[in-house]
Amino acid sequence: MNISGVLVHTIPEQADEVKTRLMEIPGVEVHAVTENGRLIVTIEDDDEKVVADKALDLHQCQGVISAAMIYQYGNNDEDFEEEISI
Amino acid sequence: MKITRREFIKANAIAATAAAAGVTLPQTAIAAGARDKIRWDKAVCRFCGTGCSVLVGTQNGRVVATQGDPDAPVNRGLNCIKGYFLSKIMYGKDRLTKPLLRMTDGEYDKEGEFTPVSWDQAFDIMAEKFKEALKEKGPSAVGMFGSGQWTIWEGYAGVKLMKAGFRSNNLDPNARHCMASAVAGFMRTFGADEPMGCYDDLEHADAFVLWGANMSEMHPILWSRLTDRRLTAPHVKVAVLSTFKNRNFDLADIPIVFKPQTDLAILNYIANYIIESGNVNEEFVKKHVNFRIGNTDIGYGLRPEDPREQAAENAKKAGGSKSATFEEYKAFVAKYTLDYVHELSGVPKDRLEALAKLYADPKIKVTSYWTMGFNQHTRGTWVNQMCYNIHLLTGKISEPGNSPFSLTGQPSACGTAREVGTFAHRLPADLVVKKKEHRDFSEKIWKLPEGTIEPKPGYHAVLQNRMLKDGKLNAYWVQCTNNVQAAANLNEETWPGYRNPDNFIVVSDPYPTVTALSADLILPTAMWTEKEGAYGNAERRSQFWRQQVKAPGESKSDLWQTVEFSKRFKVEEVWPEELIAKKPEYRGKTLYDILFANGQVDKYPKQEVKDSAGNVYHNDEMEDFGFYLQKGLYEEYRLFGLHGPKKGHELATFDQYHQSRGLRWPVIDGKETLWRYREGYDPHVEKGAGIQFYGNPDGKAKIFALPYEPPAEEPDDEYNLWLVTGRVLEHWHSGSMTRRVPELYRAFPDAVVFMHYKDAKVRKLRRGMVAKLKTRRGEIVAMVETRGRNRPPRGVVFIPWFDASRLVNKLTLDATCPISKETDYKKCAVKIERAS
Repeated sequence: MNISGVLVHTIPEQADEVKTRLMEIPGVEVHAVTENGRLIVTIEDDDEKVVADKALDLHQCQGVISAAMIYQYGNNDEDFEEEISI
Repeated sequence: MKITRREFIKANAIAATAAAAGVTLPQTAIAAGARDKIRWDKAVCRFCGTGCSVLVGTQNGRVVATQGDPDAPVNRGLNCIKGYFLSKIMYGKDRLTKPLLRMTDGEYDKEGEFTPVSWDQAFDIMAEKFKEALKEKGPSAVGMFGSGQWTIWEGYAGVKLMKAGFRSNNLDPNARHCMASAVAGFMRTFGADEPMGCYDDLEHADAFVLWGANMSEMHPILWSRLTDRRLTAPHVKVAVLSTFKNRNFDLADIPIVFKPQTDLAILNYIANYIIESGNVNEEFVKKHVNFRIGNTDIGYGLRPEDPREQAAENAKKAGGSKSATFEEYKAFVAKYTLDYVHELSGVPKDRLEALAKLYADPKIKVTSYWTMGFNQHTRGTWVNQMCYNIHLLTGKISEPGNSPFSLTGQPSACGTAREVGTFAHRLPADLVVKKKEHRDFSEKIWKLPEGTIEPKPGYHAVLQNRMLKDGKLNAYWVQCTNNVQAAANLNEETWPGYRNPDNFIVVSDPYPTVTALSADLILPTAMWTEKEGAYGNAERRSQFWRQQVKAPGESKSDLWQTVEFSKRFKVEEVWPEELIAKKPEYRGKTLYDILFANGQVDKYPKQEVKDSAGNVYHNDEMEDFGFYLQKGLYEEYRLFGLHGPKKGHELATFDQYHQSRGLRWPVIDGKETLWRYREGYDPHVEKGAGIQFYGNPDGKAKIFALPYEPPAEEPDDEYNLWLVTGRVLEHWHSGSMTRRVPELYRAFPDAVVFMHYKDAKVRKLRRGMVAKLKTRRGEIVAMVETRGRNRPPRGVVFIPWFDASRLVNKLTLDATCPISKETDYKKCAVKIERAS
């Protein structure tokens, strides 16, 4: 199981279009778009593709100037659907 | 409130990403509200020279997560794709856990099979072979190949063992292949190594010029900062120069694809333009610059019998020069007119002019970046210096935004290879073995008798492989690098050298790399956060980390290996009687006693390593040797910067680095230095001087008049394409770590040959077909790629070198810059046909 947080830079005028394109990639979520064209993105594994492949899809996506990886979690030994208290 | 673990981890990911973007989202509260079971501590990324700080998350003795360090001034919470899979590099399935010796029937045999042995057995045979070589041929028959990925103390221990212990200068780092030209350029122009500026230039420059640096793939975090600057300050311009189009061109205002080697001519054209347009900063030049004319026709660093060396007038005086005037320099560059350079480089005139104007216009602050395009060049030293020339002519240097900046490829090419002085000609803190004053000082710090250090430089990286092949270098230890894959001309030099029956080759590595498998003895190595470490990045920032986890099996750090091995040598076995007689108290002692138990290195007793939250960390070397080895080595090394003959290398204390996110040297009174050589920023500059290039005795920098000269090998009728080698985003160098991360492996599994579709078509090739690449030295096969991130012009092909199953260096030529001895991996002639 891999979960990653990615900060994507776009040209500000294109930020919304890029958001739409990114949301089409399975496992990719865009959580916020900042005023200056930055997107807060998470990527999760699915059966088809691992996170790295998707991270590359981000890089190749039209309008993406850079995609910086912020947070990475990878551990196959845990139950991810278990409920925890916070 | 109850959520699933998946939602919780995702909230953490969102919170960290939002923090890096400078915004707050609701998930931040969820992440902050929960206690997670992971222990977080800072470390330096294991890969490139940017020096990003990462937070390493450890759980049950295993690294499970990493995140960009939000408190790090370098990367401000960001990570690139390699950095973000750091948590996995230590857990490749084929980690080595025991020493392996080639044996037949229980005995060492060069042609035998790798067989597990104990550390004792490994050091027995190794000591026997080193002693044999020392006894028969003396110190010149032993050598060590080190690394810009060594931690600072590993490099320092290596220098001590080789240069002081074995009295052999045959120690060179893999940084020879990546930074030697930068070093030689700095030394010839400024008399002191490493950049004057820092990454803060990224937020101050009005224009960025990339000279042979694919920053978007090789320094992605700096590229993010550059992108941010370009997009938030609309007046900022970006010029990108390369021999093929790459991803940087997406952001380029001035895109320039030039013919290989003509960067030399373009730089002289810019110098000429600055002079002709009346934009020389005359006051700056008069006060702070001297002019020289460098020797020309200096050959290509090939073996002396090569016809190209025989024909070169100054092959033996490559570094020579004579003093000159500004007028002579002006006359020298006058022939580099717009017409001539356009013709030579193939670059449209309007783009050359637009580029020259960025440098010439006094109102535009320019930062120049370069990496291997400049350094791996048969005129690498020249091309570095020629870039300084245009910054010096205009006075655009040593202040925020005005910065000629050499980027490094390895995490500690600066901190270890360069600053510690692991090169064949160097000693710590910019000192050199050639100078008696420098040797005397080093011997004093190390408590050695006068004359211990040999004055003659040893074999550099390329020469080491040639000397292995020629049977002159016989006992050889490689640590922390994959040089069989990395060195040029594998078929003719490297492989015959490693497998020469006269030689005993030891390779220390965590993984069975191509180099390890070419050795006679493999030593399993603890890597990255399996040991306490320190790296120094491209902007003079030294950064430390604590040991986070235990290394697997019997793996030991390079530091442990070097220091432990020194116990195997009695001084009488390595030093001549007349030297021992000068220091009779050393009689009967081991090299360990003399070098490491010397009252300085063993000065700091065993202690608990703790962070500010009270977490306690391992330190396996402290456990084994009984004292704080890393601290002792570091504090002894620091004396070179504090009291050495070359000023400007002051470092902070060991404890200060553990508490900070790194500091940029010189560190004086606890304060780091952002821009060197300028009053107000650099405390070494005298009051009222304004600027002082104090690496040179007269405080002035040197502008060298240097010409365009052709490369060692050019395409001809048979080998009719230029071959350029390099890297890709997903893999770091030879791929020994990144190819073991399943995600990165799958992202870019095999090296492909990027070429123009028309060049493919005339060879009856299409995208996806398998091509045979052949040079005068060897051949490999690779799949053709005519699209994607790299788009070479006709006549040029590019192939990355990370792929151990396609060894690109079977193709390359071991031609070097004759001054820096760094190989040109960017230019040789290749022919390509359909693989049958």
